[in-house]
Amino acid sequence: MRPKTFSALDFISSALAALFLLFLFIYPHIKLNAMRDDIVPLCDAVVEAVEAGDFEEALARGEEIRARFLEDETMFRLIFDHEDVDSALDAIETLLLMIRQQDGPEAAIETENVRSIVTFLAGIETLTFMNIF
Amino acid sequence: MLVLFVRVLILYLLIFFVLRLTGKRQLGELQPFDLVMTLLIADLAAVPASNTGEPLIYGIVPILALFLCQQVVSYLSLKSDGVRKVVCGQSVLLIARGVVQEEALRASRYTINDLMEQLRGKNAFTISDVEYAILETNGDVSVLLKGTKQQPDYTAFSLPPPRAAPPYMLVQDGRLRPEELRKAGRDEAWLREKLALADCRAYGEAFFAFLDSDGTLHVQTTAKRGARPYYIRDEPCEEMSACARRPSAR
Repeated sequence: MRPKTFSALDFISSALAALFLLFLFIYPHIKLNAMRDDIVPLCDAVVEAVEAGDFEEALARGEEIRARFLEDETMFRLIFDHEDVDSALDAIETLLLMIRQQDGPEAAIETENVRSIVTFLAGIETLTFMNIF
Repeated sequence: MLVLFVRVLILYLLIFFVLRLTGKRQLGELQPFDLVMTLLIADLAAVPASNTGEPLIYGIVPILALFLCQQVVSYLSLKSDGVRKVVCGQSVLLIARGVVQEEALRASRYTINDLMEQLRGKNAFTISDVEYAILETNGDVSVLLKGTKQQPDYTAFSLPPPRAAPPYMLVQDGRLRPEELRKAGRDEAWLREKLALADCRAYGEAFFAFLDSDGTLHVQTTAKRGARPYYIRDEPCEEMSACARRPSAR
């Protein structure tokens, strides 16, 4: 690689690229952690309600999970493979269906599925040795 | 389909600006590091360009990351000789004072046949004509011929050298280039007068017109007007038609 003169344009373009990348590194990470921190307690509430037999309460918490996920759906589609986002939405819809059918065990399983997907999505943006490889 | 089209446009513009900013020209001038980066950028852009299920960010972030790496390494190469040596490598002297450097050849994994091939590419058909041959970092071989084999220049014959001036493309594709006309120190009135000698009443009738360093205006008319070349001298003539010369037909 031949070294070339470093002009003001090079500095400006490098700074802009670095700032844009920094934004992409920080903002999605913050949003995903916030989403995980909001949805995980809601998943716990769904499981509690289902175990107590209160499917109305479970449905209300399930709707909250969906609304919370849809809040950031556009941002998720910008940074994730659309298949992963669709899988998460499918899992949430399946959870709501199980609650409406008042199928306690299936609802609990689907809640754990939603929890693990949401935790997985938040984890993707975390820089760890395992994530790199 | 429109979405796919717009995605490809965005990635194309991004690659275009990244490659322009990193100073790429033609493939033949690229060093290995540059070639790898160019191919990598193309590969990284290909997947999100064709798959709307992949977010565009999956192409943009890697390309920007490569761009930043390239800029940082380029800057460090400029500031540090050590980094430059590691990144760019060093030129290797293959022939010094007419003697082939066997160890340098072996270290560069060059055989005598490879060396001869490179020398022939530089019009040196025998090693005995070469004083120095240097293997550059981009794989090219620079050759300095022995004094007796070099072409003599004007000073060797104590002759006055011809005027060295760049040619100016005054009309290109039928359109006037005012900046080139200004640099050549001419005006439109002069150009129109000369073009008239080439049977061109308007700029659009000339395919091109360029002013040579010796002051000759080369004009070629468009295909519609017969694609005829003219060589017009820039000097007053008793008969204007004598200033314009067409090459003799073969």
